[in-house]
Amino acid sequence: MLRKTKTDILVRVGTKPLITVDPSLPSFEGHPFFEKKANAAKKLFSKVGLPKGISKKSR
Amino acid sequence: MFGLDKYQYSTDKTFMAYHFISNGPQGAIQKIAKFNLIGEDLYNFGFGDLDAVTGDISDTVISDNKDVDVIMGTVGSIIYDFTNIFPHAMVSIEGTNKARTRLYQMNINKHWVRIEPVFDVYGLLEDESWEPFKKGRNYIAFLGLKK
Repeated sequence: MLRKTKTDILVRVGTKPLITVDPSLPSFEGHPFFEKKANAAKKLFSKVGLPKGISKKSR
Repeated sequence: MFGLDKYQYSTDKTFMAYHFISNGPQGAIQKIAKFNLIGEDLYNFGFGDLDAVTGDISDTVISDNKDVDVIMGTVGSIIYDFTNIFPHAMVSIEGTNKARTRLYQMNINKHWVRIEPVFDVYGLLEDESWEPFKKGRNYIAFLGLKK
């Protein structure tokens, strides 16, 4: 089986225009703004969980 | 996506961060949207204005660039593209304050006819219980996943 490449993924999306990938755009991984948001969301979901009916099995 | 007006945007090579520029009376404002993995197939969506000089990102600044509909159209399109690339992704959205959460809610309401056939959307009520999104109800957070 052929290995999936990033190009394959873009083609599969099939929307017009295709998503433009900018290799120079930082990933903003670890950026304090998004870390703060993610931590707040983690805290929220650890408290409230997922909606009923959503589970790995059902998906 | 959904035939709404939107800005052109680009993504980084991980497809987790997205960049576009809002144009309006206040000039060009750089916007960054990002998905953070916070659980199995669970991503938090964050979004704000980028200060290109300091690298700071803020979602409390009121930019007043008179393009909120185009920005929301762009955000919707980014989420749609992201869930095409990661079809099992569940995307959580929570405004930084009640006004922002309300803005998201108003836009989901406004475009519900377009959103509903594509996404399952849940709203988190004040009592911290989830329910399938219903128009006209007030929520404190949202969770969306591709049907």
